[in-house]
Amino acid sequence: MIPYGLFSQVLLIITSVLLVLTYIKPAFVEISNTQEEIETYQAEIEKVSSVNSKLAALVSEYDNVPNQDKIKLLTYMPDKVDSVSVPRDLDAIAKRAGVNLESVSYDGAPEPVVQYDETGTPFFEDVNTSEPHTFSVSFESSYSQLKEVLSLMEENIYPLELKEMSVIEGEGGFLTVEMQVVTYASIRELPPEVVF
Amino acid sequence: MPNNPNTSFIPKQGPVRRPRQTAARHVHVLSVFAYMVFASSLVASVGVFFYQKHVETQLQQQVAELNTAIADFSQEDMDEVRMFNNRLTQARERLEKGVSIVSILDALEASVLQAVSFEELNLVRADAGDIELEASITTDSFDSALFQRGVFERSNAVNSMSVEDLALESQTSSEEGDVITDGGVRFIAKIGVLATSVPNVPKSVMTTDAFSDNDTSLSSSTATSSDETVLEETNEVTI
Repeated sequence: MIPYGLFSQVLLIITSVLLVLTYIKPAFVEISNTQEEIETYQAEIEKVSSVNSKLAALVSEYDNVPNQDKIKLLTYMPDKVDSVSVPRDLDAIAKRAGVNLESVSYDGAPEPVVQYDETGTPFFEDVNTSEPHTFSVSFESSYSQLKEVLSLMEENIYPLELKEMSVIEGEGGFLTVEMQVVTYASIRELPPEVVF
Repeated sequence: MPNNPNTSFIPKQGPVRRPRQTAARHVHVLSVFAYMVFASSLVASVGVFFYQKHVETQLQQQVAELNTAIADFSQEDMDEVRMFNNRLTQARERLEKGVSIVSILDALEASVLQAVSFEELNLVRADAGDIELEASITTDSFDSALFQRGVFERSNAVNSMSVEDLALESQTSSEEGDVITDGGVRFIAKIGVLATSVPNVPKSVMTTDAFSDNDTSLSSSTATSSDETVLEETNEVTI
């Protein structure tokens, strides 16, 4: 028969072991997990704070850009191309060079090429590139007038790039000029099925 | 018989006190160990309990800090800055790819021989920005055609040069003796011009040594003349 004293001692030890196994050890595991979570959160906080501070610096830099320059940039690279004001400007340029335009028309912008990834999700690679808009212009002029037109186009406040030009000498030394002029919009018009 | 009052067959205890027997106290090692283990486990349990609460409080603080940091992030500011940066990048790209067609014409003017005349000129700008010129040219002789080809080929700005559809044409006249077409050599010159050779850049940073084949120089400068113009340019081409 086990004496009462020995029994209580063994019971105490068993209770202690059970306490360790059922509470202390799991609690340590939980604490360890919680500490790992804390480290993860700390890392994320650092990242978010870093982004916030960089963003704050960029916003400050952006705010320091003079409004006049912002307007110039917006004029040079607008969100959208106005298909009426560009022909008007081309006409003004031609008139300034002493040329009357025979025709000017808006040819539009190329359709963006939509691609699909493995999951079938559509995406558009060149979403950040500018969108070219083409205008066709034709007129008759002398050579010096043609150069003046081209010169004024190069000086314009927004890009009027010559994409194609055909010059044919006509009667009386006058030139028949046909050209395709490209200007750019900052934001691309995407098809509605493209989701980002 | 001696008189002994203490005569009894029952033994009697004398006055001497019997030594008191004290119970021996045994310190049991197992007992001490058991109490120590139990006490330690209790203390550890309490400690772990409070430490766990402390750690959980820390976690909640971190979560709150992260939420605050996320709330501080402004998507509007990010969009605004990103759009501005995108626009700036696009504008810079256009400026870098800018080509002065006037400079090309000036260079052609300076490099074309007296005996050579252009009947037609087609200009196409490729996607990379380089320019392909196709000129229908007439000259008075093969020598002039050869010399003209040499001038174009020696030009630094010319990336490629080829002569096609070369033909000798005799003078044709009507029955009345009027000249209908002049005789001479007719050919099509295909000239490739690198975009980097004729950049359209602001005046302050303009330097170009395109067509720097011989010592003839030609420059064209344009000045801002109205509210429609913003970039003042000088496009120089050395022939």
